[in-house]
Amino acid sequence: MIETSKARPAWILRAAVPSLVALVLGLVVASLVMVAFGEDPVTIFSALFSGALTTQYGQSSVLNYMYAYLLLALAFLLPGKAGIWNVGGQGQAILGGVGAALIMEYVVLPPVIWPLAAITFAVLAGAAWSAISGLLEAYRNASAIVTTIMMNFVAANFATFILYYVLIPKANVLSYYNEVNFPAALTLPTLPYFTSSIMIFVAVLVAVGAAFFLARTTLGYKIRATGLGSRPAESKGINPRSTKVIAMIIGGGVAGLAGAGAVMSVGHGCGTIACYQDGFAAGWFGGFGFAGIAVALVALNNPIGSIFSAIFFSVLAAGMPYIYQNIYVVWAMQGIIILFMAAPELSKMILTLGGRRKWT
Amino acid sequence: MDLSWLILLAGFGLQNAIPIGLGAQGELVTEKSGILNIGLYATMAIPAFVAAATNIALSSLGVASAYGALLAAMVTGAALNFVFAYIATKIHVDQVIAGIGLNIFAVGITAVFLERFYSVDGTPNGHQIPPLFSITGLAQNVRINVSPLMAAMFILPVLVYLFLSRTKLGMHIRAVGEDPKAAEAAGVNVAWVRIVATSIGGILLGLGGAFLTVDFNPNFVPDYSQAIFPAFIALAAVIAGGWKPGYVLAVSILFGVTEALRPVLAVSSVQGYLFSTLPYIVTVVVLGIASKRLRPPAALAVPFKKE
Repeated sequence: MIETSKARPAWILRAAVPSLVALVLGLVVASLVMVAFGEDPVTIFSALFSGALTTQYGQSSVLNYMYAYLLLALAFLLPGKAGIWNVGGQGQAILGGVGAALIMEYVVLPPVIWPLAAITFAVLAGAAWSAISGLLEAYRNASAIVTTIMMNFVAANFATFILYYVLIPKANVLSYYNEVNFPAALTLPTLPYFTSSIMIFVAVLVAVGAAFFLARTTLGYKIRATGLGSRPAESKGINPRSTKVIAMIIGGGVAGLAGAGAVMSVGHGCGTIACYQDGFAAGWFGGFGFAGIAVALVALNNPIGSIFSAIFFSVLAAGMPYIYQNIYVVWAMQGIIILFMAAPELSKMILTLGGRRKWT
Repeated sequence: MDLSWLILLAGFGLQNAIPIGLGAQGELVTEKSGILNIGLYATMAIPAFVAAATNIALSSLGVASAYGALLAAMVTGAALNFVFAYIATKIHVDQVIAGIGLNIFAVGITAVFLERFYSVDGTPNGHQIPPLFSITGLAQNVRINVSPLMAAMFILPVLVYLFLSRTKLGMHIRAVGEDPKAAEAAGVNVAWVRIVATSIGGILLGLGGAFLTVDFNPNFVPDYSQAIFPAFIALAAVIAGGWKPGYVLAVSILFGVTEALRPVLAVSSVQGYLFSTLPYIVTVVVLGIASKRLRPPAALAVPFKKE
């Protein structure tokens, strides 16, 4: 899963081909399912894209999905570059949300410092959560695949506990939606025209920063070297264990940032059953972590590529309410796309069948 | 002293343990062959949905429809895991990525079919599997139904143990899970043994999923948070049970009892959320403390490519 990036434009275009093939195959399979249901895929997809791209609500919704998808994709791919599987972006984001919420509820600080402190604490909470799995893999030989999955469930239940046991009694609110509203001074600035926060800029900045970090910094180099194998890394004088832990901590911090965004954005209108406006609701991240993995895989673990695949998945998710009552059609498509992405040989086979020269 | 709560705890706990225990034995057989099936959530949820749908479609047959539903679930589970193992061993799809893909796909596709054919809230009720017998009189107003699937949960570990240690196929499964190169040199077809082992695991995972939609409740409700089907608790039980069928059963029951603490002790549902984290915390701690002493199959999650 680790790709060394060679920054030549033609190479990048070629590298994107399997991604595009997988995306197209995902759309084709989804269309076939619709045809089997007796529905017309053309009508459905045009309703989807016009809903997501031409309405103000749809566009805002795209931006709200996108920052979460993009940050959670980075949370997966940064540790992935060091050869460690972070399937726990979900839990780390939830912990980040809890961390930000606790700061907002229990601490009072001057205007600008207060939200910044909440964000910082969220990043630290996500990082600490991922550090557990990172340390266990690096020093106790316990697969991070398994421990991060377990930690996701611990985080989800823990967040629900904090919400009902600490935040709601503290806020003295018994909301029908089980949400806690935070002071207006704490919410992130909203973009003009859209009903979404500035998180989208933060997320894109983090993605560009991640690309620079991986390609140009010493630590980034160490992370990529570790991903190519512990032995070769050691021969270059790199400690693969501590590098893995650091990569995991960075990933968890990025996921925690996504959690802070979810808690501190007003009117994210993300359209899932567990997503309520203006507040913190447990389960907001239901599935976002896994969608982030899909985004990263489609981008072949490339931070910049993730921006584009996050756009694709966000448009799908934001447009889905314009067709179906629930957005879970997107999940089915994401699953299929991931399966195709995971099978590079399959894409190659299809390209070869298409009469072109053998794709290598 | 009123001990009825203990009996309740045991009763509820055993019932919670059934899907965990059945699924865990299935995942155990799969993992013994060296395949780590993260997609086990899909192999529980999709068969569970198929079982509910079969149950409703055949409901004119009476209770027989429930048994038909179990059969359909087992076939679906085997088929799903067959596909998973085939693409993992023959097309060399990464096991973890394929598993994640299948899980996401499962949440999506069951929701799509629910919305299209039933209702977004779930399927109507079908027939329920009748219990083998009921235990009453232990405490007031307590009636513990022993379902055939509970019996299966207790018998399965013995069968799995005998299968893995005494049959030729079982020995081949362990061989390809420990040292696929040596197994291949000895003339074993590594890919196909893994595919067969994973498919057998799928039968049991499907049965575990069907318990929830045919036996525990005779309907399917959507599971967007991936929490209703205890697939990942089953995965945890395999690890915490050290890949030994008997221990895995014991851990499954322990996890089932933990889940029962909340309703039985009438802990406010709030603190109950902390109890729900126990199986996962236990597994992480076991991995942290005993990972050097646990004996996972040596080639677990390591792909094998013929030279």
